[in-house]
Amino acid sequence: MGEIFFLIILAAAGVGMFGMSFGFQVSRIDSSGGPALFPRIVIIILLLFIAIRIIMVSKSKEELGKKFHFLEIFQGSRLIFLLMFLGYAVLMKPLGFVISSSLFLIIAVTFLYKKQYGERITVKKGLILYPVILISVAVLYYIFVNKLNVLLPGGIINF
Amino acid sequence: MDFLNIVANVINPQCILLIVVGVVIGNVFGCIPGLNGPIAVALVLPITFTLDVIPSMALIMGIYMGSISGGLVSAILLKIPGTAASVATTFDGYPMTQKGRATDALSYGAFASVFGGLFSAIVLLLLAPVLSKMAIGFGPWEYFGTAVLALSLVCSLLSGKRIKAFIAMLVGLLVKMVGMSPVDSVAIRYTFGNAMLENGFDLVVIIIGIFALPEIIHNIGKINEKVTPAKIEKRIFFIPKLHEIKENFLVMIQGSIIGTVIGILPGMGGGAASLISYEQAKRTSKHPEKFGTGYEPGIFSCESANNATSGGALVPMLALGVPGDTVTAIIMGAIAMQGITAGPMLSMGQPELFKTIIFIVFVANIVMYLFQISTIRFMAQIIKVPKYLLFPIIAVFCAIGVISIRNSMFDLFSLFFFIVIGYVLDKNGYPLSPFILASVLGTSVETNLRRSIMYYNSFGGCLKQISIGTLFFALAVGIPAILAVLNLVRKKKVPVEEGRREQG
Repeated sequence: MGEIFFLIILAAAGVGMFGMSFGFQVSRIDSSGGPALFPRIVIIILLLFIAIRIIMVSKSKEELGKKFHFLEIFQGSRLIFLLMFLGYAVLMKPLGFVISSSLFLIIAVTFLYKKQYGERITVKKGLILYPVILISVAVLYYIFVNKLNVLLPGGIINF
Repeated sequence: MDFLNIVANVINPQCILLIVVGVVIGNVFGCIPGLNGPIAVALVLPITFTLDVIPSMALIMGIYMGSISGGLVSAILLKIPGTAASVATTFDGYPMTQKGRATDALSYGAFASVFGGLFSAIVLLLLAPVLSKMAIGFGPWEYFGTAVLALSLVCSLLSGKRIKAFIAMLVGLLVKMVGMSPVDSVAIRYTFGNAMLENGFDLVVIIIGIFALPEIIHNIGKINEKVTPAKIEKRIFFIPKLHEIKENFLVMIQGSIIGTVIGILPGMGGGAASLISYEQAKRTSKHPEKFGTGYEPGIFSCESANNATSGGALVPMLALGVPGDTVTAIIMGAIAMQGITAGPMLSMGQPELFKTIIFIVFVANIVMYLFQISTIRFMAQIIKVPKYLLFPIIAVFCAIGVISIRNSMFDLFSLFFFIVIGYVLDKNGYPLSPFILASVLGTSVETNLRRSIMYYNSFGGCLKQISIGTLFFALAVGIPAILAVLNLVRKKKVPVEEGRREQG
């Protein structure tokens, strides 16, 4: 059933996008069918395939009973990692790449270590690992910004 | 002189170093289950912005060749295919490991990989210029037909998942419509008033969001699964014996042909090639019963086939501008970022660059083999790299990849949208390759359709043209329609036959 819900949501989004296509600005000299032509063709074909898939799923007991994978991305360690990454993205601009990346790596590594081995990271391991993370991030920033000319947010620390 | 220039373009310290770095990265990503070539290529895209075309191609081709063959390490030692292309390698590779012949299995796999890779590179060298010459007279209608046929084939050839593939492809096209409309550049579509969306979603954001991060997040859920690879012998080089190569020569030729042909077809990829080649080798073998028990031809057939897809997939990309698989779709994006359009004009307008790219494929295959035969023992240890370190590091590289495009935080946040789309599609059996291909070709399809309509006054006018564009369009519509009818007929026949059997 989960897949049918997903397809219905997809179809609703398609219908919404189809409706929006009537509001697109059209050039007077354009003779190519206009900017709405291609989206409309794609949406009509998409709706056709969604209808076929819904019929296929609803006719098959096996398909109906299949678990739809969606919610597990927002559960347990996956959700925590996603939130960490979100926090990383939010802090990237104000704190800069070096601090936000170091924070993200230290927190994520500590969390995932416990998940992988079922125990907390030892003080000895932490004393080696965390400084290595800090130095690696700083080196990475230096290489990308100064050697590869890649723009990364400087934030508080800029070198 | 032309050849010497090409050699000089590639055989220099910078290019060789980048090929080696690419092969190492590709091998690491290929042999760690959950990571793969497209992720690796996507992650190095920002670095390629800073390089010239040839060095950036050296890095990317190194990764491409390395990632395909890297999958054999975990497939043979753990029965976990590092990539989809290595699934068939587990059938005979792992039983050989169980028999204490892991070293032999790895050396067979590495040799078959380079054999297939070089074979397909020769085909690429011979076939791509011919196809390019054919395509030189292409107008918008022909380009439209070619791109639509590629999109249709990528979905139609995914047997058992066709409808899902078409849905994924059409969603990919819709995503690509966000922003300023092509041709007229007047309408701003589906931006919801957000100025950041006016240029649409960047391909790098889509690729990283769809491919790399959902896989990492999915694997975090099973981070505590333990892996212990089998021990392998200490040797300096892992090379099969001459009589073993002779005995399996025909199997490798067969696998290479199958791999190259499948590589040329959009969307099939190394996974299908190795499985088909394995089945074909089994069918034509004098000892089919030995397959699956640790039989050498099993490894030679699938590893030669999966590496041969690399050269095959580059043929339509370089000759027609239509990528043959996901990695080539990303490579095409990387070439476009360098201001070069892959397609017939590449071989006609820049023949030296065109041949240099092909020469890079040759060199990358040889470097990949030299690297593998000398480091297989150490590569086996990479499987044991702790995931608690690996996953956050990859996430940081994903962030760098996205920010580096235009230093935009909006791109970083839009990544979450693609993570959800990628996760939902992939984990529910909706193939991602049609989505990515649609993201790469979407703008080109729309632009060429609208230009064709302008040129021939209407869509009906386009259809009246007797050209390869019309033929390709007819095939794009006809192939899935015929396959659907055949599927319906087969489904109707099955209950009738079952009824007869019950009556009998």
